[in-house]
Amino acid sequence: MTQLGELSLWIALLMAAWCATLAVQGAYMRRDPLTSSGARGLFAALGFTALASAGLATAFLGDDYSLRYVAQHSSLNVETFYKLCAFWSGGAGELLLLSLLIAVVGSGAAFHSLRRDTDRARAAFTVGLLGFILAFALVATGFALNPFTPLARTLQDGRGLDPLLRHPLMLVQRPLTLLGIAGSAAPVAMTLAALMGPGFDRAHVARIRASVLLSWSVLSVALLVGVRWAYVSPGLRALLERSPAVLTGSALWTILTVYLIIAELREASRSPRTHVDVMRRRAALVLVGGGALLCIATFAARALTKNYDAQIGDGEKYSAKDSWGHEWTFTSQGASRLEREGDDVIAVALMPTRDGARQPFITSESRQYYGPGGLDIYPPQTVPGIRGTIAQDLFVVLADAGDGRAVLRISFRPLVELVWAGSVLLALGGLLLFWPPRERFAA
Amino acid sequence: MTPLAIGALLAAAAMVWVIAPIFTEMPDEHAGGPAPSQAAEEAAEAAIREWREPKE
Repeated sequence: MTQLGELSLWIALLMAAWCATLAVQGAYMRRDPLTSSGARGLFAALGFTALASAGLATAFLGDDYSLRYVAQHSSLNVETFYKLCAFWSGGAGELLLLSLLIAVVGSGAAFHSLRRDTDRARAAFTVGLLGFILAFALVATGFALNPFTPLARTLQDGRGLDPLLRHPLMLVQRPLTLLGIAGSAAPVAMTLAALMGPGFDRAHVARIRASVLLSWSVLSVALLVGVRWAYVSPGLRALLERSPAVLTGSALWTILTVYLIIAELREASRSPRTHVDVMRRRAALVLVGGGALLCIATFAARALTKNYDAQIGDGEKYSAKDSWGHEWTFTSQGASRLEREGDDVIAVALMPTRDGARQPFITSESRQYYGPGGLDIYPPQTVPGIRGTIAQDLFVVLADAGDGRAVLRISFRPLVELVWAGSVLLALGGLLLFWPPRERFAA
Repeated sequence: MTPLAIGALLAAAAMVWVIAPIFTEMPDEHAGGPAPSQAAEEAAEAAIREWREPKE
């Protein structure tokens, strides 16, 4: 399956190149059969990219350590769920997944353009440009960061997945970011196709705007999920800030936001006042409300946060005061150690009370993952204990434990949940504001 | 069957499917302008008849 996967990658590249050449030729010569052949090339490229992706997924699930990429990002003791997530944990896998998503989005956009666009030349240019973008991504995958590159000799075990990436959100954050990036291929192709001669009409502009909005929405969700993940996983922020996918996604999100704002302003200045304005006003209210909530909560959260570095012995009590003046005590229930296949877990449970009233237990863990031969390749991974309410988040991080004592950082972070609520409101407000009404589609 | 053979077969099948529209292209009967009207066709036929059977 691995061999078939690599072969499929090269066939997909040929098909994408065929699509780019034939569809553009079809546009210039005004011959529909050439365009149809080009479009079929794009659909075939989708099939072969999917086959290549299936080949890499099989290599991860089947522990094929003859491949450098698999050996670098997985190991025998990694759970099956994370073996699948390891697919997109490095640059080579990200590029292959991006190619697959571009093929999916491109095929959809090509199908839609050929059926809906009344200008045949423009539809053909769109198909050709989508093929060109896919070919570019596949060239980068095949020549620069090929995930099917073999090792000189097959290893018995791999290096393992970075512990920072062993989180359920890994399943959605990276693919969503890449989907948002891939989604922007459609409006880029449609815009360039119109610029290559046929020009724009209202229906085409509406189609471009709808595809931009779709891509913007996916990227907004991906960025929000990424920020949330960085909040609950200490140390992940530095990793995400260096990730090319996250950096590209953030830059694209900014560009798409500016495009949508300009499009909205132009539309508002041209069209007469209608019932559409009511929807815009509502959207503006949601936006302003979300923005205000976000600003106030962010500044308040920063100013009012209280941190305590505590050393607590087993059964001992530690007292602290939160930002709202409540007295808290934390009684250590002792550290427990759990040795599992692939990782050791040290957990410390605290029994908190607030103003004398008992609160639910809160637990923080330190996980040491082992690579092949029991080597501790990666530093210990901390899993914080978080108890969130609207008023504040209680955030407990275990720094060290041993000899009957635990070193912990206890933080009271006020209004953090309101920061999330403000961010979601901002995204929803943006979606409402930029949403094109049906009349504009019909135009 | 080896993976490479399966890949080659798939590639060949895909290539046939992809290039098929080019070979099923119908010749353009009205290239160079719109379809002639009924009256124009009748006039053309009359001219040909006249040319074949000249008046004496």
